[in-house]
Amino acid sequence: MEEEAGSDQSGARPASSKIQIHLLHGNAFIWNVEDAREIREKHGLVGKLVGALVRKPRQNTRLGLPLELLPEEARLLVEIGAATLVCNCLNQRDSVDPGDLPVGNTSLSAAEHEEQSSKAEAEAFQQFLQNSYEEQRQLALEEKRRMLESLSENINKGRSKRKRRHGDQEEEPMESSSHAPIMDLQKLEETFHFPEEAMMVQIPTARTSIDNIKEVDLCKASPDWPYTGEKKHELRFRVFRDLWKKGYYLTSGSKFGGDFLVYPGDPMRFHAHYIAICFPQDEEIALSDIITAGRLGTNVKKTVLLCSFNKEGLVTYTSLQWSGLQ
Amino acid sequence: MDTEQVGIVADLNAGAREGAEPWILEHPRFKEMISLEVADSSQVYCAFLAYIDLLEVRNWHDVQILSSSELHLVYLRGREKIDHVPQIIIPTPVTMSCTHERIQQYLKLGHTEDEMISYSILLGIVESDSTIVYYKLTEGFVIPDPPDFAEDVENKRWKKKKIRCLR
Repeated sequence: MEEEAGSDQSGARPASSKIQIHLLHGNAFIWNVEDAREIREKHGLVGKLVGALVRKPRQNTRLGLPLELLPEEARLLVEIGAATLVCNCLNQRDSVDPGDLPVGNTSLSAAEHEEQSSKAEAEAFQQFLQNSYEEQRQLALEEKRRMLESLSENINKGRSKRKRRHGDQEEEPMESSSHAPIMDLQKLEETFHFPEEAMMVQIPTARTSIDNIKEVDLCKASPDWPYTGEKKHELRFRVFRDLWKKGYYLTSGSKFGGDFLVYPGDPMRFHAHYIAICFPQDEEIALSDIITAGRLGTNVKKTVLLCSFNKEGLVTYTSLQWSGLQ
Repeated sequence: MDTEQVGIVADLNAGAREGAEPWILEHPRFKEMISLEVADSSQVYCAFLAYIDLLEVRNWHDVQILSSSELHLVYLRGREKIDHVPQIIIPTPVTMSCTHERIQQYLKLGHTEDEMISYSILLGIVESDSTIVYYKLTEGFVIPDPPDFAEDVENKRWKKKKIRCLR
């Protein structure tokens, strides 16, 4: 019951807490892990992770945030009211419309206020880092002490052996060596050096402040959202939305020479069934292209799906398969 | 006689494919296709090659010649095996292009009484060397074969054989 109530709440997400899709030169990114999760689990959209993992660089089999969305995915999320498109602006003044310029004084003071608060934030962050360093140093120190204690026997043996080899007195070392590690341990507090570079720092993937962003209008073409009015985008979006409504999961199809790869369920669990290629209804398709697509589809055990929308706005599909007639 | 035939060939070649053999022009089925007067000669030539391919090479049954005046097309219907349902074959030269709208019109030719089966046709694409590749077009979604299943089994058998041979 509780869970249901919880999901209901998240279903009716207030406008202020919509997922923010960050645009950068026409690419759409999700930086917040909760948002990325909601997009996949609740909305059935996949996107692709494009960020290197901090502790596993120099590999690309597993990637992390940000999640890059296809333009079609971003638009769909906005159209179903789950997200807004935003872009960063360099400073506060950038986000002020030219029409608001006459009231420049207030915006300036706002900027000053902003600066002060960010200074305080920076100080607080420095303090946080300092505390974190102390804490981590203490933990590392304890770890080292534990290590030395558990190894003290070995260390003693090693030392006495070395001393014997050097021809030192034979009785004394036994006694002194039993004290030596304890001496080490006692001195540890003063001699222990924990370099600052060894400190672990949490790197947030999403911004905590929402000040320096402005909303981007989907209906107006701009450098951040250049797709509005593009014929190809319109076609791809209609096909994408229709397939998504049918319950399919989609990813970019560029690896297979198509527009989308169509999965019957989450791509983690299924192979793609179809390679969707979008054509305007009245565009001439060279038969050699049909052969190319059909051959490729057969080779990878997928059906090629020719997709168009007709004059009534309905999306139509034709399956294309190589037929190995005997 | 020879020169006369060459003359006919040249005449028909004005529209037909180059390299059409004289015997093709004399073939009663080719003449029948031409006499339907629905399509241009290159499409008719392709239809004839597909007709011969299906009958002589692939041993199809009940291959019929059909035509559509709306689509300017000579097409075929036949059964791959005697107990199979008839299929529609649309022969077309590889140099041609085709809109998705036209493909959907082709699919209507594959209409059967059985409403449960979605329309499908075979597109017979004819190369200039007269070889033909067939592509199946079906309205809507056709789920592909499960990946690698049959192949895996065969591969395993083949590996076993290989091991046996090596012993």
